[in-house]
Amino acid sequence: MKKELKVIRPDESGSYSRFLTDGCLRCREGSKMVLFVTGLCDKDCFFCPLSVNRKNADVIFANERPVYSDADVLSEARLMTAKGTGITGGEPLLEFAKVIHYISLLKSEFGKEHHIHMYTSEAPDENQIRDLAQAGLDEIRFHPPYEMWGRLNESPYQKSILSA
Amino acid sequence: MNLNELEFSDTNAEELKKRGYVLADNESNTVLGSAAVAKAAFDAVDAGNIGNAGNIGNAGSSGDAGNIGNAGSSGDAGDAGGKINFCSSRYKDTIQLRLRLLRTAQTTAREFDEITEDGTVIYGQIRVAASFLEKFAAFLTEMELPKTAFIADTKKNTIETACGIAEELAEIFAEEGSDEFGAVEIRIIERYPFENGFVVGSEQIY
Repeated sequence: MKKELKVIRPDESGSYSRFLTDGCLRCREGSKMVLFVTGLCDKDCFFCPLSVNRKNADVIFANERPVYSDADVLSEARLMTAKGTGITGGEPLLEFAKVIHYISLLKSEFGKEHHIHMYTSEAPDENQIRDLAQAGLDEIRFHPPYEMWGRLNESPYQKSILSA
Repeated sequence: MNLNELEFSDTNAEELKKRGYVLADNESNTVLGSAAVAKAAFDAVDAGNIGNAGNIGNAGSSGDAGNIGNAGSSGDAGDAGGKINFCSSRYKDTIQLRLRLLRTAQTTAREFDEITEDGTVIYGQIRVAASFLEKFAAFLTEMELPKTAFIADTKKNTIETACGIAEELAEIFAEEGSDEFGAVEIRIIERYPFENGFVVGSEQIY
């Protein structure tokens, strides 16, 4: 499904790309559910756009729906006939067990073709990466903190990204 | 490498302003200069200079705003060479959200809901006192509306139906009055396509 795009192709939103991951391709058809697993985060990025009711709050949302049980997550996914899920936060890896739980839940309910990607600004170690992959995570997106951008090669993010 | 366009929100506006970022225009939350930095990153890739995120940041145009694009994984840490995407702020509204709502509307819309291009649904809502709800539903049935053409909600004391029917009723009541049903209010409502979805617009027509 991965696509190398030969030309930079702007769409009507002003986005353009030379490459789109499977996660992006499904988002483009509106079939990705956004699973916000926690608003908690140990970083304090000045550009964080999260709304007040989510920022640093211990809350879970599936799209706009507050989540109190697994049934809430599954029914939201069914409502939009989701073909995949993007796990975000807050910092999802602060709730590692929860992340593993939701990956397993979604994969067992909707099959392994339900595509799951996750955002993190942490540098997970090899064991964590292995556990995430074994649970069925398809794609991981690293958002190293801004201060690290100039020296990623010397940071733990280098190792995380390579082992992913 | 995925570059997200930097955007203003209620919670980051103060910090962004402090650092000299400004809005690109009055119609979006887009930060001026962020898209230009992404463009510069693409140009750098074209030139075969696949820098890391730090290099790309420096290629920006408008002063401080050039320094950040909210980058994903680093270009030179993996094999991401040339695999680059710029996801605009507008994309999140006009594609991601809109298409998700449309998809949802396809499963949730009731027979009388009108699905808009934005993925919202439009319908008419008639509000009556609880004691008149049944009588009003009977009146609609007498008008030979099929059972699927409206829904009476005994919790909200509303009857929801197609936009066109609500408009027709409003016209009739405007001419003939609606005293036999007590106090009646009719609205056209546009909302996200699920129960208790965000109401985008509500206009009282009677």
